[in-house]
Amino acid sequence: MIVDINTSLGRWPFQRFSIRTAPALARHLRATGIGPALVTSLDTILFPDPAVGNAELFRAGKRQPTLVPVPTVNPTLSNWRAIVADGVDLKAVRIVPNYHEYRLDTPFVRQLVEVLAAEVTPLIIQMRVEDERNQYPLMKVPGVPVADIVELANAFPQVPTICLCAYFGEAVELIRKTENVCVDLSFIETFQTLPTLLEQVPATRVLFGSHTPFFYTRPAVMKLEGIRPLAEEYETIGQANAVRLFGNRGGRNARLNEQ
Amino acid sequence: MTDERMIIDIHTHLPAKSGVSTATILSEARRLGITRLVNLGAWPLNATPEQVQSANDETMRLVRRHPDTLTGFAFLNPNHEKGFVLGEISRCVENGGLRGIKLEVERNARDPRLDPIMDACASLDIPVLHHSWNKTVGKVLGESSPAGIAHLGARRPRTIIVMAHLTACGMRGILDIEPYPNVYVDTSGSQPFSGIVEYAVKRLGPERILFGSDIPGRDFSCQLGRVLGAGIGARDRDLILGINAERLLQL
Ligand SMILES: [Zn+2]
Repeated sequence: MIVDINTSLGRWPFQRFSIRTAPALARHLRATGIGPALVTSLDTILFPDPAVGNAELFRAGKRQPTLVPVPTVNPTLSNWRAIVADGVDLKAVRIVPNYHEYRLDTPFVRQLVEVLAAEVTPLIIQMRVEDERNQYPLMKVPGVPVADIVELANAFPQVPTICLCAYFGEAVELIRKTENVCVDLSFIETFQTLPTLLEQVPATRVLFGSHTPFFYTRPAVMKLEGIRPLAEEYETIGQANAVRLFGNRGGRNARLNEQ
Repeated sequence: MTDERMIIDIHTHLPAKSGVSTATILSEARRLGITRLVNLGAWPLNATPEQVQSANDETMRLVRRHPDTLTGFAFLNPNHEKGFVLGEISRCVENGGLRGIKLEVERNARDPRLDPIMDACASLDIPVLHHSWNKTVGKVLGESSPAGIAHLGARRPRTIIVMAHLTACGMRGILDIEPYPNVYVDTSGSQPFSGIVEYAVKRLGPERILFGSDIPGRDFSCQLGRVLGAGIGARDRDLILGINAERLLQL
């Protein structure tokens, strides 16, 4: 069963999603051939206090055994420590540096990652959510610079760092220049995407991510299908990497392994 | 993806600049059940007359070589002298078997310099596939927005225009072309953002939407996935994937 590490719930002003609730997301993923999924709250991106969106997400996810909520923190706000400490079932922590307006080399970020390092908690970096070329003209938010991620990841090699929504070239650079960065495949696209990507990077560094509900889910599934004949890589990208990174953490171990 | 349904991809670029072989591209299309590719060719930005001719020569050669799989469009640079441009249409379409025209970013769609091309296409009864994008950043000089395409569609109502890149044109782009029934849209462009195919079906009707991938810069599977993953009916899907293109190209 495929594990999706890039899904979210909530509202976004520039798109009207057909999937708006946790049960609808779980049903939709199941119908598309996906089992467990990491979910973040979209309302943590633009709304000033991410704790509000996190709380809604964790409440909504409670009754959906296949959805694994991941809290978002803004390390420039004082409540990030409480959010991380409260994470009973913490699989990972997500940051959204570009929308929260900070660079990865700030002391705030270092302090957060030091805390994550102590527990070897994976750090998820949301590089973007939209195609910069199509953004609302008064809300141009560039992607998180690859060089900044490389520097942070190399400063904390013990922290698994998962970058969501990297483009093909960014993904290759991130993987080549670090030991501990993985990427999801949602934004990665070229002719025969995965066979081409795997000529340049190992399958152990790539995870299935659909970026649902921003994206249709089917394209990611069909990209993964492109390496169906390579049984080992299919399994590695579709499930095993996610189980290795997130499966043995927190109180919901069973979730990522369950079929 | 292996049923007998006809799938026509209205937006492809062969030969691949990246070096992927045409044979690989055709076999990948077959694997995914794509039955026909419309080859728009491959050319440099601001191509010279010689470069235009050689790109179109290559398209004609590929179409002759793979007549069961490829249909070709001729690429034109409207900055070239009118006699040359119209001559290229007659060389490639009337005498060379190509079935449409491709325009990119060399001249904006609002420019009347495009009109003789549009008129020639109307009298030959062939479509024009025109690049378009609603860009916040990175716009190329001369690049057309959907509003520009709408302007062109209004100026030349007898010409069938396919506006490229649905997702990149966005909802705004769909609304721009909605009043002009001679303007169609292809499904390529940007990432597979959800909701846009459904919205286009609702505003334009499924008959004005054509499946396009923009390979080899893109992936057939991802591009097909956005149509197959959209919440639309089976009939709408079949129109988008092939029936509309079959009618438009008179296959
Ligand atoms: Zn193109």
